[in-house]
Amino acid sequence: MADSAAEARVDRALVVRVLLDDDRRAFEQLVRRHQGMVRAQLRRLLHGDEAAADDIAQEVFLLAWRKLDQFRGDAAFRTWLYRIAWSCFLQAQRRKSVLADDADEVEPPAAPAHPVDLQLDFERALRRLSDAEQAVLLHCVQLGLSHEEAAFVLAMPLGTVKSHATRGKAKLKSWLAAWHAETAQENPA
Amino acid sequence: MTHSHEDDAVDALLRRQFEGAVPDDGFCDRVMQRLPARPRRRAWPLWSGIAAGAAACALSLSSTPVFHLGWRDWVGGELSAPAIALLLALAGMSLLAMCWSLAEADGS
Repeated sequence: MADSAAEARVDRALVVRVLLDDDRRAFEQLVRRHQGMVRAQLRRLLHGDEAAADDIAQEVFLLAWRKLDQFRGDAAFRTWLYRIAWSCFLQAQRRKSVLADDADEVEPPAAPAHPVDLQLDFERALRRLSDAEQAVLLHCVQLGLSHEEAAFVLAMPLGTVKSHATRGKAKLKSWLAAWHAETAQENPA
Repeated sequence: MTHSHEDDAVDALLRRQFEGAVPDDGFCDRVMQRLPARPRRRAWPLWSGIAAGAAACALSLSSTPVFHLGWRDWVGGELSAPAIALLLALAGMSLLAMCWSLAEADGS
């Protein structure tokens, strides 16, 4: 907690240097500090499409440079970047006209053949969640944001974020439980 | 399997699924090369607006007798109704300017 507060203070100090002194080096430090996680966020959202994720990530930082005076410091700088990245991702998706699958109509994935397959099958199971559930779990669990921060990034009401998180985890849990039952039947002790 | 244990298992799998921060590999340099000049906020539209507003205000007030009477009484040290009205108008405008300045300072 103290670490994240200190990180946020450093970010704010760098933002002030950019705004007051037009300091490109300060902005470079901001990019270096946050590019890794923003690109990781976008790679997850784009299901591992590294080239597309990096293109959007570049767009995110160029946009952040232009709109830096709109950063009010209400949210952490990284959360502000995640929000820009999320909106750039949505715009890119709209451009591609990719239609989201309705995960509720999809059958649960089959049980993995071996425990080592679990990671791969878990990935497949994750993709069978709705887009909103995937996005909420990515931001809340994998990127480590609070529900409030995820609500800010995804521009969703807090209650919706919480219900997506609960529903997404419940689906994954039920699929995991089914896998456990099937592997237990196949390999009785 | 307990409820919290299942929760932990799902969270652990989700975290394990996440590769973590991506190494830079020249990304930062590419961004910095594409960075355009920072757009500068121009000050002249603001000051032109303030000057135009003040001129319009002075022009409309100069034709009203209240302004003349108030100004004369104020200079003469007499606290008449027109002088009080003039003072109140000036105080109101100062207050608005102060609120605006505080809001701007808070936002920056």
